[in-house]
Amino acid sequence: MAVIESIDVHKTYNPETIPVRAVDGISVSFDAGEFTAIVGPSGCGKTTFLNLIGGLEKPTQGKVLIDEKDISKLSIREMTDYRLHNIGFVFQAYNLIPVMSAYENVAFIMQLLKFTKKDIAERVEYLLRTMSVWDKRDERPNTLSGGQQQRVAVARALASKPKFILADEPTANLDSKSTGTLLDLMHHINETENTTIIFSTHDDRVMERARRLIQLDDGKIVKDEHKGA
Amino acid sequence: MKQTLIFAWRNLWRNKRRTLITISSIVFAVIIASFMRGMQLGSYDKMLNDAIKSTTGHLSIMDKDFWESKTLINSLEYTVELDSLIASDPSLSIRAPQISSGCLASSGRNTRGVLIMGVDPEVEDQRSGLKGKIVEGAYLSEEGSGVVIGGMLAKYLHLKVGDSLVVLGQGYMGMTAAAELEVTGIFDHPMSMIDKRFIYVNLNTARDLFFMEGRLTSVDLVLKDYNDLDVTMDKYISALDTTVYDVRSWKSMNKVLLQQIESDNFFGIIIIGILYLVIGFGIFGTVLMMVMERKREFSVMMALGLRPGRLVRIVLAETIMMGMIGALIGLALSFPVIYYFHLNPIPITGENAEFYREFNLEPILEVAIKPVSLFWQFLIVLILSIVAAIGPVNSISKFNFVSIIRGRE
Repeated sequence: MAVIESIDVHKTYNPETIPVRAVDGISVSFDAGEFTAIVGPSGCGKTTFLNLIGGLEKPTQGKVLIDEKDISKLSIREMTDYRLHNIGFVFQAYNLIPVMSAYENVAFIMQLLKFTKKDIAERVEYLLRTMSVWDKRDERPNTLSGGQQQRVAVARALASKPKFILADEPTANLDSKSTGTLLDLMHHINETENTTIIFSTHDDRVMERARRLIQLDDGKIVKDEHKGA
Repeated sequence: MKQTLIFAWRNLWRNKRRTLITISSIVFAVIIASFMRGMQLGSYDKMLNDAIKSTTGHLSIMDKDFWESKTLINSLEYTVELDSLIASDPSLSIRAPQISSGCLASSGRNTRGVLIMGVDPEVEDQRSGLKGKIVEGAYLSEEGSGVVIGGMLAKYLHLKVGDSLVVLGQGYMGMTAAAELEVTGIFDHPMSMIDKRFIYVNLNTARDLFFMEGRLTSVDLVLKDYNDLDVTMDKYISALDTTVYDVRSWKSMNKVLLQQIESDNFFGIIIIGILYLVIGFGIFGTVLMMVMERKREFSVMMALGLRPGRLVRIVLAETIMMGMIGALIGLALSFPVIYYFHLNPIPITGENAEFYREFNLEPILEVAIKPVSLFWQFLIVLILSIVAAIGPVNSISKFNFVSIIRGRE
């Protein structure tokens, strides 16, 4: 069953001056537990598409259905709550909160969602151990390596048990070893928690590990390949 | 809430130098403002104590026509009812019955217009500390007809203790009031008007001189707590027959002083306002920087599902913390300074001292300790912090966080 479905989604920037069609009629669906990479050259619309299905931006045309609910009709406040409850984000630049420790960065989202202290403690420990950064739990982001920061960012994205994780070029700033470790861990989470994970990337190492590859060009899907199929 | 406060506290110290500079500017402003305000309020207290307490009192009860026409015909009969009303009032610290009338005082070839003040010696000492100002001879006594005069008057009339002076004026019902009185004491009063023009006698001497048996020109009242002025005045107005008596506050009896206090207070507040305005812009700049340099961080937090309102609360908490720290340190540092100068008033010398004396004021600068005023400094900084934060925090909700995260802004 499709967790996410985009139906003829368009996104045009500056429609009244110099229109830029970032996404041009994408229709695609993602099932629960998918491990998908959206690939394509820079400017092909990968990040914009992730933003659209992640509720960060609204399409200029078309629908984005999450569990059959059209999120493009939600108000800004509803969108914010929707993101908090349903989506985990991983950014290229990690974007951890600098004044919080690794532990607090992960616990932060759960606190917003009013999880109990006990649940937070158990979940954060589990995630930081899974991401192999438990020993760094009291350290602030500026003392962590890039790989460690990105693993904490993934732990943060998973903290609230989201329906899916959107990772925008998460390995772009990582070396091979860190990339390999991160992908192993995300695979593990994908399999153990059945979390849908969608990457945007042009990293070959991510493409190799993805079970589905969607290739974009000029805002359109030019190839949709299920590797196991 | 706790999480917001912890978060805000840590954010505050991300840029220690900037935070410390901003806090220092607040501390500086609070110290200056507290001290300036303390001096202002101290000088008003001084005016109320010197000029009011020792001349008109906070309130004065007199005949309804006396204020307009200060002749002894318009004196009041000091009835038992009036005496018991005043005597039983617990809000009063001093009840000063008096007979005052203008006369000519003469000695040898010199004559000067003076004000004869018939007073209760003990009460007068309470209200003006006159006994302590005696530099030659002795203070007034309940009995006898001796007078005490100021050093400047004594010098003008070439009088010393033991000499006599002649007073000539008009008594009650137009009778001639004349007497030769012995100078028993000479005082040195900081208020030049009193030093030059006042002759103090006891009430009995004044009654005899002016034929005022059972009568007074006024009863001056000094309150224990100045804040009770309006309430006490209303109380006397309702208790007394206003077709016979007039109850006046010092504000109507000394309008020049009142205007002086009001205008000084106004300009003092304007100066403190300008000082705080400058500091307010400093706080504004700091908060603006705090928000702008964290645009990306805030954008990520919003992307993760944090409502802008929560971010606004965090930044507001940071600003309020900064303001509170500055205000509390400022108050803590200013208090010892204010306390020192409260105990050790600054003497004024030279021409400025003369200026003070012309206004019947003792030439010293006192600094008042007013907890309410200090609390106001704290509150002003707090409000200033919130107001300074409004613009920057308002911009948070207008962030295009997607563009910011993607590095387009």
